[in-house]
Amino acid sequence: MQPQRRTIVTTAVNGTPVETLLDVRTTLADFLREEAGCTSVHLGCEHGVCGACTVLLDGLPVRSCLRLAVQAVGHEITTLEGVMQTERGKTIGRAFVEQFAMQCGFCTAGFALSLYHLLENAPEPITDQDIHETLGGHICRCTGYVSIVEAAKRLRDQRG
Amino acid sequence: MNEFTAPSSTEGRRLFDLQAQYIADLTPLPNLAHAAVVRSPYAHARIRSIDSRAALALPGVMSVLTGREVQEWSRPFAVAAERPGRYYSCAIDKVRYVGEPVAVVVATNRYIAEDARDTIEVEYEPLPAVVDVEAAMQSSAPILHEELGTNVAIDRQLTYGDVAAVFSAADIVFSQRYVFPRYQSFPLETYGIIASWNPSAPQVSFWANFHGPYSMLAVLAGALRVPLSKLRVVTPPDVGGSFGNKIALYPYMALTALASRKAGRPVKWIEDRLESLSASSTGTDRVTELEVAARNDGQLLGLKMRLMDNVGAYIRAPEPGCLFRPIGNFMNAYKIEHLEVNALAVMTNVCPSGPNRGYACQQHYFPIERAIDELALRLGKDPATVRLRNLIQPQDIPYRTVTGGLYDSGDYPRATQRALELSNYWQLRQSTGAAGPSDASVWRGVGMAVAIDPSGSNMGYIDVSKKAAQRRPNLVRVGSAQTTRIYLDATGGITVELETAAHGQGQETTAASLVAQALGIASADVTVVAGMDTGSRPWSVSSGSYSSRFGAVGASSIVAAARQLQENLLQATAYFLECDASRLHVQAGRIVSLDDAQLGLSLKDVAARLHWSTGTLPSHLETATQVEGTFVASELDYPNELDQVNSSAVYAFTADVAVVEIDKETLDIRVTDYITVHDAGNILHPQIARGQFAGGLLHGLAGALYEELRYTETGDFLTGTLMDYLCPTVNEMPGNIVMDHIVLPTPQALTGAKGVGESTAQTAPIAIANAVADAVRHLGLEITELPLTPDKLWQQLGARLAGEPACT
Amino acid sequence: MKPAPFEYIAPESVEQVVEVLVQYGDEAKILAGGQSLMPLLNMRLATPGIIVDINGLNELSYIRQEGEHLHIGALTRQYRLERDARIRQTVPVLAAATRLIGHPPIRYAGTIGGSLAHADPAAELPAAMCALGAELSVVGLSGARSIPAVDFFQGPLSTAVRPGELLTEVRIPIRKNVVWGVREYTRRAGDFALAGAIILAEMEEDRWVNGRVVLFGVEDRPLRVSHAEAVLTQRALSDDQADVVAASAVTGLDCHTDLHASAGYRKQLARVMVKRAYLDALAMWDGKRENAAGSA
Repeated sequence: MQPQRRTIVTTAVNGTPVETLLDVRTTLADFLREEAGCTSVHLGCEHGVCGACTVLLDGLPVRSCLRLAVQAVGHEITTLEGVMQTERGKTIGRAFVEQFAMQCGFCTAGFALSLYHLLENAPEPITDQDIHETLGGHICRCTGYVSIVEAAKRLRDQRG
Repeated sequence: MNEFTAPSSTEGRRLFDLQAQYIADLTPLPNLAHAAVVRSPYAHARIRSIDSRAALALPGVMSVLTGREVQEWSRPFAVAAERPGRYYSCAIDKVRYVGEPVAVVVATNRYIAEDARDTIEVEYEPLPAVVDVEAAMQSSAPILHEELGTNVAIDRQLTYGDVAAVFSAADIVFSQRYVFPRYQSFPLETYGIIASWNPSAPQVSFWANFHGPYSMLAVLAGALRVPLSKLRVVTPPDVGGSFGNKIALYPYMALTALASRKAGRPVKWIEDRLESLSASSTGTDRVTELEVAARNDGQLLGLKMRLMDNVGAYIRAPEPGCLFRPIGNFMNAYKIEHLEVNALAVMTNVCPSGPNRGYACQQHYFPIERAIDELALRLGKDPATVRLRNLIQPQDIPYRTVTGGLYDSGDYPRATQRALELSNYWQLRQSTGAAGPSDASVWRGVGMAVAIDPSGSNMGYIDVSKKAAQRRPNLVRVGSAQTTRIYLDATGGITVELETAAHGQGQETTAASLVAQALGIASADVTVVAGMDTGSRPWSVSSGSYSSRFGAVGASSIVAAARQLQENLLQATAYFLECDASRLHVQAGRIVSLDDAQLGLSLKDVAARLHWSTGTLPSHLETATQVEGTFVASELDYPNELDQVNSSAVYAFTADVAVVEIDKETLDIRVTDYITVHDAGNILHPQIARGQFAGGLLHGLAGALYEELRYTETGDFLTGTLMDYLCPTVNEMPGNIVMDHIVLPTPQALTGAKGVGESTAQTAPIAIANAVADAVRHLGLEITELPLTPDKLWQQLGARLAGEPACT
Repeated sequence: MKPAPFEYIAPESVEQVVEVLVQYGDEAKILAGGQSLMPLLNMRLATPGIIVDINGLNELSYIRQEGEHLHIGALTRQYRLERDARIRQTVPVLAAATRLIGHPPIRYAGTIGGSLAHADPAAELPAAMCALGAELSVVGLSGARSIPAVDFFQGPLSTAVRPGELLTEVRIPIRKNVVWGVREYTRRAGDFALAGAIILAEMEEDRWVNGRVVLFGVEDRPLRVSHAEAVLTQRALSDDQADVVAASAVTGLDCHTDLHASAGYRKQLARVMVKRAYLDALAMWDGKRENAAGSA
């Protein structure tokens, strides 16, 4: 156990092992964008409010700006790049595209990942309140949330 | 052209296909270095010295740019103001707001650049600051730009009609002071710039999420002392929102270019959220003194307005747009023919202002629409009745306003009645404010607002900032134009090149469907090239996606290009089949004879022949596969001697009703219902239009209740994080949102479409304020400023609620 | 907006953490869930010399019942407090208070110990600990010591944890027949409370005993208001009583003013939150008595 300034980070991003030498202060968000090629991870505020950088850490949605990359060692990270390899991810993408549940698209991956987690894990039934609580952790500046709520409800109704 | 089966989102597909490209994702050049900006902690101070030695000694640090080089290498940005300050991309000898750039560090990465930033020692001599617009006009106020001797950059007196006569003849005259706050509909993606200075040309290339109007590029080129033709700007296909905010990117483009010049390599700068909140751009805050003259029957006769705009530390183009952009629609949708305006732009020690969704109309309509409610109250009439009485009638349209606007189309009473119907307005009125049940836990209120929504700004309006005698007849700025190019490839494929540089408006989706409709093919068969590159695509200074101009101007240029291509296809087919082009038409991807359905060629055949047989084509078909459609809005003129100008290409209309509930104990304000009815002419894509209405509502709601950029009296910035600057989430949106529209196409656009993007952002702050006023009027509260927060209501009501049990 | 340089260490035991804390003193900062620390690091408002990452200490992540106490390890993620069946049965007010923290992604990452050690005066968990009469265990070189929650919080972002100590566990006495209410007012769902209140009492025949009235977001730390607690338990229970308890709770309250709430408004909110928490508890009491009557 020695203090480190730089360290080799070994982790799994979207099922693929990644190993990089990093400054220990590198945030998980910067690591994912710059080292792991996950440009779907967007930095909207870097202080944990906006939700654009949300990723799944061992399946749970967390803010990747509020975590150091070194903390990812031994954990599995999933970003939109990974989720889009799944059937559920594709269903979410279709619902968003058809409902126009995005405009500029900068916040969208965060919403999609939180919804993915909800749809994967929430016990039946998913209530409107569950949807609002899930979406409430994300800021969208374009849509007024109307179309995002509609996409979420459609996904909820389709869940099976 | 009416609603049709709308294609799904092209932009959305790109996103979920993981192909999106935002500025932060780009590394278009090798050897990119990264910048961090040293910023002023003071609202007003003289810079005594800057010591960068420690920064330059850090491994990985390449250069530090300061005001010295900025002054040597660039000029102040041009702006249409009588007394502008000297505005550079970086403070030279003085800082004038918290967050103003003082130096730029360039290093191998952002972490190191920030390390270096924190070692730079700047010695300041603090000066007294002023942030209040009225205080800044006092002779005793601290002066920001000493060479001017005043903080007032613009002071224009505009008079239309015979104001003195109607005010003396009026039954009722009253005045009120209104305050519109400083807030910004910040996009979620911050500013991002990659700049590369090529010293030998001189030439500078940018990749940036810049938002037009491209006239700002002329301002930028002038400041950098580079010919416009040597300045290339690439906008990525995906821009994470703007709402006007990213128009003010250009000073930072200059700063990043100069940092690149100093560093001798390309530099990337991605603004962070703290920088964005303190030092990007904000909507203009305004104090309005309004005097209203009316008759006892509710007829409005005339207005006197003193507009005091706080433009921040430097008046920066496109300011003073906030004073003059709505000049043609100064009277909103009302038939008022007498108006006096004193328009003032005042500089104070806060971040420079700029466009924000609903630019200028939010600020302008708020006092007028509040005052109409006030007038109704004074006359014992309903606010809706007073509005309906004064609205311009459909038979008056086209209507020339006294300020020069040409209202091209519309039925304002019908749209307004529709909003009243959908909201059940008249019935709601029976149970709001004091009429609500006394045992209810909330006070309820209903309020409305109507707005002319100007779309497609006429550049000419800005010259109203000058007196007629001072305008330069040799440079008549006027008009609004856009060009679109379409290519037909050898296999019949269609490529559309947009030059509007969108940032979330779904223009690729709309463009594909417009072209597909014109050619009778599927949207999916049309490829739209998004983003923008001034180095390879045609553009004009009025290009861009601002002032809600895509539907009327941008999309009309797409239609113009598509029609030209259609005509070329007819001509080519006539040539190949040796028949009369006027007897051909395009149908389902084929060019066929009207007389013989068997006679025709597929689009693919025509394309192949045009490409493969160039040697045999007649001259009129040689360039048939490449078309360019330019749309120039008509009826746009230069301000006349009476300061009248048709300031926008077309005028849409919005009528909104808001219902609010205010918790009698916490004073929490909830918008329970929001009804918005639009006349945006033809709707080019129903879901996209709906998205714009809902998004406008979000920003209007934010300005009404949540978002405000706040400073202390001495200019310290208080809302520096998203913990303090409150962006509404889904949970703050109205529970019941009803969006509807009527369709009165404009003859001024080939699409028949008017603007959709800014509409509700203009009306929502007012409708919500009017609803809150209705809810609390019986308690003696006056609502004259935004945002309305529970704490502000408490300031007026508190004594009555404190200590005594309120109703539950 | 990137953290300033620091060293990083991830100890593998509590003893190692203490060792590092002692060695580095003020330079060291403990990283738990990171939901408060990481924004401060990103903004460079905190520039520690070394980050001590305790997320590897799985032994500090637990919820277990021992006799009449519930033991919760400091590293237990907040979302588990919300969902854990034992917590929902034995100290449901803790689950309800946790649910008011931020948004789901914050609670998936945030820990109970992190929130308590951070000691934001507007935070829910410190107030819940005070209302529940929890004991907080800290471990230092000289071993473990236990601090009652009300003594633990000493001011904004200030606690009784001494240099070289690590918060390891909270112990919550399980009380029977409890009624409770937790209310807070925020501008937006998920924000820090402008004012909040927790009411807790044990039911006894036709009265409440061992009442707790705790305010948060109003002064520099969570505040147990003993004079209101006396009112809570001495007077008859009724809707009208809500206003009396609420008025008592805010008597002498010295609220602070900030960007979103003036002192006067904050006091009003505190009063209303107490009142509503009381009414929630009262409704719970009515419900439980009806149930009891029904089953009898």
